[in-house]
Amino acid sequence: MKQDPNIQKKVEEALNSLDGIQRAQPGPYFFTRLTARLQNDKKNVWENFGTFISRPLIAFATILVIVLLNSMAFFKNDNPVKPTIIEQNDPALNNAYDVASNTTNNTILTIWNPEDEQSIEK
Amino acid sequence: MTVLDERILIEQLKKGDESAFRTIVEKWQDMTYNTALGIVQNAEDAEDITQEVFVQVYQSINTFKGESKFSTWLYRITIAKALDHERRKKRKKRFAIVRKLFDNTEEVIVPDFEHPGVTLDKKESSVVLFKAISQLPENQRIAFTLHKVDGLSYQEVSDVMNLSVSSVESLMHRAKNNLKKTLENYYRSSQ
Repeated sequence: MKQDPNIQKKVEEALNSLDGIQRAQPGPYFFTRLTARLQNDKKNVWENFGTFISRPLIAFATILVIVLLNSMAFFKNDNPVKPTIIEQNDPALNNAYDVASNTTNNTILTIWNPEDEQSIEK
Repeated sequence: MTVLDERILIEQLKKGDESAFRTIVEKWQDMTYNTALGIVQNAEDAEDITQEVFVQVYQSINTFKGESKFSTWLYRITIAKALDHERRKKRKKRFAIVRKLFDNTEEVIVPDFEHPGVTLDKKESSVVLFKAISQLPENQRIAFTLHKVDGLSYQEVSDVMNLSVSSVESLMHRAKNNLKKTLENYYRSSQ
């Protein structure tokens, strides 16, 4: 294709138009605006978290995960924990209540002694 | 500022020193803004991106390990933010086109971009060139902008773009050829 010298001149001018370009600068008080934005971002952390968690997809996924974990815990529990008898024989506790562990039953019997009850009635 | 001063500043910022952050911003704000402006070709958007870049620097300075120069790290963040901004803008534009089908509001005409650093006698030609640059494929556009607008050497461009110098040379060659074609078509149609 025949090249038009006028067009070629314009093309060259355009391609060289960035020679000697100076660096552009942001508007004045850039740092002030930046710190304001940083402060604003700090304040919005909880707000952003709230917005994120309240998204329908996130909320639904969270509920689904909780339900799944519960179901897994329920169905996979092959060895249920057997109730264990904890022997309470703490001397400090016994002293505090002034009741020895081996006398507990006696004390209870004493408290609920039916004979005493009858004697009181008499 | 020497490399040692740079390292001290970064260490201070890692410890949460506000004055170090101020010094860093003041030193690199023009560079960051200029790069963002070259890519998005809009002053407001470029300022917004520059702010985003420094917010990220403040929040994630601990991830900077010093394996590359701090300015290289900044260029990478700026380019990523600028390209992300462009993608969001394009999505909005597409949505606006769809909305226009159902709405009678008039289309907003985007004014031609004039870089404030171009000398007065070259302004007119540079407007046409920037329009042509915006039509280049992404990699060619970034390489061309970093070299021509930000004045980086091919070696520096290759560091920023994580490419070999020969790949950058190839990108620049293709970019210039594509720009020539676009500019020829533009001037031919406007005759």
